[in-house]
Amino acid sequence: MKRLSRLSRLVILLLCIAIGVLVALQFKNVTEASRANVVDTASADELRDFVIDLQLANAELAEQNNRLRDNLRALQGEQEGDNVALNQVLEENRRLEIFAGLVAVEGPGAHITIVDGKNAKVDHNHLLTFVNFLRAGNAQGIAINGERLVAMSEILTTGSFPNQQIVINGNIISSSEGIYTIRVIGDPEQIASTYSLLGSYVSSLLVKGIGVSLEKVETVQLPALGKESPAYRFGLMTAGE
Amino acid sequence: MIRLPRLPDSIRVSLGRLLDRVRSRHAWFESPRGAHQVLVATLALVLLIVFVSAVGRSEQERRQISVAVDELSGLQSLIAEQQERNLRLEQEAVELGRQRDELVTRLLEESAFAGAEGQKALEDLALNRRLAQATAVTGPGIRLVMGDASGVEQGSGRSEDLIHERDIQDAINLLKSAGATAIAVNNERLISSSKLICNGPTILVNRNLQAAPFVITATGEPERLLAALEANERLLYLQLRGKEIHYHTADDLVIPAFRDETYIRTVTDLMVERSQP
Repeated sequence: MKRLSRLSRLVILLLCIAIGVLVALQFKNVTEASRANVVDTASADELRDFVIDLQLANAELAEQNNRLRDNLRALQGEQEGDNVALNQVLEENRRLEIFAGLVAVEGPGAHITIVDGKNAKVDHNHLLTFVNFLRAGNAQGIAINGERLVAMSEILTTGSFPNQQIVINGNIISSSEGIYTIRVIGDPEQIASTYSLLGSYVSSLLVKGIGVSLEKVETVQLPALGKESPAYRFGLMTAGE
Repeated sequence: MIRLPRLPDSIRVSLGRLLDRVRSRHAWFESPRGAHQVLVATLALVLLIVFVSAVGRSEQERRQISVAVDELSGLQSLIAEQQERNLRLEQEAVELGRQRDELVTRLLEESAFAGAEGQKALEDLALNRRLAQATAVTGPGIRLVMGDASGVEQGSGRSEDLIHERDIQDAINLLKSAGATAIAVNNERLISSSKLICNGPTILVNRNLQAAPFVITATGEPERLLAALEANERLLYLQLRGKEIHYHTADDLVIPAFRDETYIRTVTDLMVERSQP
């Protein structure tokens, strides 16, 4: 076999070194890329959004704690006749009653009307879908056909087609006309925007013959939760902490 | 054959030598050895160009990756820092709330000037907090676990193998209709405006993202809650599709309070009490 020239041998040596260096550089890049993946699979944008949400939540918590400190200071300095403690409790009661749906309220929002079709009736799944979407659009208070939805409100369908009825808070809310009015308090624009996101769902109902419409309302009125309602349940609970 | 003009001898000799040299070079080039060396030299040149360009590109990529890694690491540190602050602030809120409640109770119960109105206000406060889900509760109930199909890693998997918001929403509605008195999903207490929104493999409950498996705890009559779950066809269907569905009654569930006082203020600033018709 013919021997290679010195130049050829030198070139082959250089070639091997160059390939080695290239492989090493590529390996380093892969390792760095793996490190990037280890840091998090989430994109930087998602992480930035998460940081902003956390900062916002912390700012709200800090503000809440400042209010609590102010309340404590006012209580500590209470003199006979000031009624600081009583006023604080009455104010908290007022807010909690509104929040829990224990009193009738009003505010800006919208009415969504859903009407039975000839061959298709509205059932609890339809109402649950609307309610969940409205809550996603920051709905603060909701009532359906006069029944206020609270934390433990159920929405059920009883009976079978065509005699089915919808039950909320243990009460039948179905009307003989098959009309369901969802009254919702929240930012009307945000509610309308959320409703538009439900476009394909609304279309599927319209195809079945179920009518759906939205009306923005300046002042929506919601009733209080009935005191006889099963949603007033707390018998089995005992306060913790 | 090149015909040279008549030139002085010295010049003719020099030109002759030059031509001989050119001929000899040409011969070298045409020889197998010469061609081999030229080929090797060309290859070496090409390799050098490729090498320099690869090193340049590699260095650029390395810098880009390094910047991305640094940014992600920075964000991670920031998240850890904010989460730690969040925990500290929440603990502080619990402690301040406890101190305030203690003081309010003492002032209204022990001081004569608050009188019967004070007592009534405290009783109403206890009831309102319970109904607003702002009090932690303990008691008997049921624990329902809903998870993605086995073998599905977080962040991956086909949609049909995952637990969706609708599955959880139906289970919660079922528990409410069976008389649940308080419900939490992954320790996030449900309130009147709680929403469940699918966000990739996670579900947003209230304002917090929760990942599978979803643990739903509900206080109420255990046997009644259990019977409702056992009779539910949708849960059975999910089980048959390979998803993780299991439940059991418990005597000592603890369901945390909803503590977002800022949210309560936001809601109650928007809604105004009116007299019931």
